[in-house]
Amino acid sequence: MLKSLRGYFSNDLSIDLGTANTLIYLRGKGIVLNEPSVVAIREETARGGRAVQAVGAEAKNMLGRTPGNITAIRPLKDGVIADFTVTEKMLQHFIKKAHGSRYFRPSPRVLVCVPYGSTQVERRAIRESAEGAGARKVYLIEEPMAAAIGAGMPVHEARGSMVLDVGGGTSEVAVISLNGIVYAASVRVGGDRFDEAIIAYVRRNYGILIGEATSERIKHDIGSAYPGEEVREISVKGRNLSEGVPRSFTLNSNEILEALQEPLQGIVGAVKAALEQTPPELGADVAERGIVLTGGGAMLRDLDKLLMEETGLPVVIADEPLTCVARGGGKVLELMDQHGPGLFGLE
Amino acid sequence: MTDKDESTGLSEQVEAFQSLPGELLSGARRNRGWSRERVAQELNLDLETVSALEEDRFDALGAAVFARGHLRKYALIMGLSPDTVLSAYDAVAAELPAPTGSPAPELADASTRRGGGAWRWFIAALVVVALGVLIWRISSNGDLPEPDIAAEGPGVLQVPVPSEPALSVAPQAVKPDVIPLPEPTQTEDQRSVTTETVVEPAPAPPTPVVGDDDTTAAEIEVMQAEAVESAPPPAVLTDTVRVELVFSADSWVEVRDPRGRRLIYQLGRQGDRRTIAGEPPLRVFLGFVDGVGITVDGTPLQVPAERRLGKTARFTIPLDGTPASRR
Repeated sequence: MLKSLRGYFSNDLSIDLGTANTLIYLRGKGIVLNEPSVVAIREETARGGRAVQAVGAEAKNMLGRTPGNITAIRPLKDGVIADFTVTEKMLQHFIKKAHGSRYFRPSPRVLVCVPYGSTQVERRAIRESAEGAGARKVYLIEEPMAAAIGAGMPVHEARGSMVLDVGGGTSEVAVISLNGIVYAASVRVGGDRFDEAIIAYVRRNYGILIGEATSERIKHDIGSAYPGEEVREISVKGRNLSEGVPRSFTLNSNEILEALQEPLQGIVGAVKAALEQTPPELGADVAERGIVLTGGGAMLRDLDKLLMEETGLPVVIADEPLTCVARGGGKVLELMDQHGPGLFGLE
Repeated sequence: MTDKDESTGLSEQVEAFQSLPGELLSGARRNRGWSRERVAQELNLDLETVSALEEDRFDALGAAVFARGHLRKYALIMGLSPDTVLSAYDAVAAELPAPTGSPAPELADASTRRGGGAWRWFIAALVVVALGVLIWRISSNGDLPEPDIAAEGPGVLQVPVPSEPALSVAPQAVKPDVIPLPEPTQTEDQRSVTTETVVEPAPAPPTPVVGDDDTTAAEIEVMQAEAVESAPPPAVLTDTVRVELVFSADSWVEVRDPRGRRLIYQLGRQGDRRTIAGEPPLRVFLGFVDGVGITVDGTPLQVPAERRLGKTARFTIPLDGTPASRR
């Protein structure tokens, strides 16, 4: 009863619980939180327990820079929960932060976006984690549907709309028509795989070990999915594996393009498979209007060019692709009151 | 508004008119010597779609996400700034009718439906007031109010305790006008008892309170008042039981008669002595049972161990003085 009373003073939330970033859309206010999905845990040897040291951006700054008693971890892997307890704590922190300072502990209705390919066990873990974080009611929506709605695609029309959401842990491709998913697939390739590929490339070709944060910075600065006219360079530092001392070296965008080939081909393969499986009428609609890219991975330079080249279809990038999923969830929360949770197959 | 402001606004309108996105793109294409077919090939678009972009027929492109996406890419291959073209598009799109049947309404009125305004605080205020009243009632009475007590009239709860003891007030001096009591209503059982006992009426109302030498006059008056409140009609006085409480330590004491009336309801101080009389069975609650000596009609009463809970005890006193559970 107290939970429902507190619910009166809590606004509904849409949460994009991503492997790399967690975004929260507060109903009526928009995106109010965009933080890395990272938690720093401190081991308390005196009491024999663990305590949360930092969450979000502060914790991310600790990645790879922590002393022995602090561990900065990412509790989600490949779009699903890898550490249930830490995820719950992280959600609790984010929900409280999203609501700002309140006299009551918030107890909102929460809509969480889950990967299309996640299993029932993984979905149950996400649901229970949100409930443990204080949500009084939890709804789940599949990420491609939320991404399409957030991008402003006409999902209600009797026309095929194809969306490709490239997240941190997974990439989801779906064909949507009449508020339902006609075909969808999820591949466990995303921004994290890009980072790993860059680390592996540098280690293999330079004999230098770089960290995750450095790899992500390289990807943001000179990462590219398609050869461009301009070659960009970046100077980075890493530990020389043979000498054991830090060394500085320079990478260029063509090298990163080469490094990213394997994960990029995974995404291209998923899109091609989706086009093969799409009914012809809907495929024709997609060919006419194009594929819409969403997610943080859509900001990788020239990813749209690569997909255009590989598929021969028009490809457009949605406005603010990083927030499409959370914004789409927010719109669904709006519609849920009018049409009920069954409109988009909410669980 | 000044003349300068008016002229600035006019110039912005003229600029917006001159920078329609289709005109910008088609002009750039002609400058480069490209055909529409070539643009369509570069963008993987139909020729019809390219024509719609250049002629500002954006409704033919479907949702805004497609129009904006195609315009951005078209601008890039023409070497134009995407922001300029999209700004021009936004100006045009603002005048376009909203697409019908969209499942996603605008979010501007999102907070109104949930009512983030005053009514939430009104409910919160009501809840706080209700909680405050509840806490006040519990803290002031120690228990929830019982309706039968209220029905008995104000005399029961308004027993005055004088700040200064009234001197030389004998028990017999208590008159009904000192503490006005309502006429007790007789139940069917009481009427029958009265009928049986009226044959030999009591010669005089027995003294309901027996005060000791060290009992102050004020205490006597309180005890008298309590006794008078709980005194049944004279015809049933033969069924009353007299309980004497001697406090060797501070203890809370509650005694209620079968109708729920409080015969005593207070903190007894060390050294106090209280005597009450009432119709049995009397329900007794003692806060510190070991600090209270109990005598029932002159017979000492030992509270059995099974009626104790920690330092407290709850039991009933029937006529024979044998304690029994109130439940």
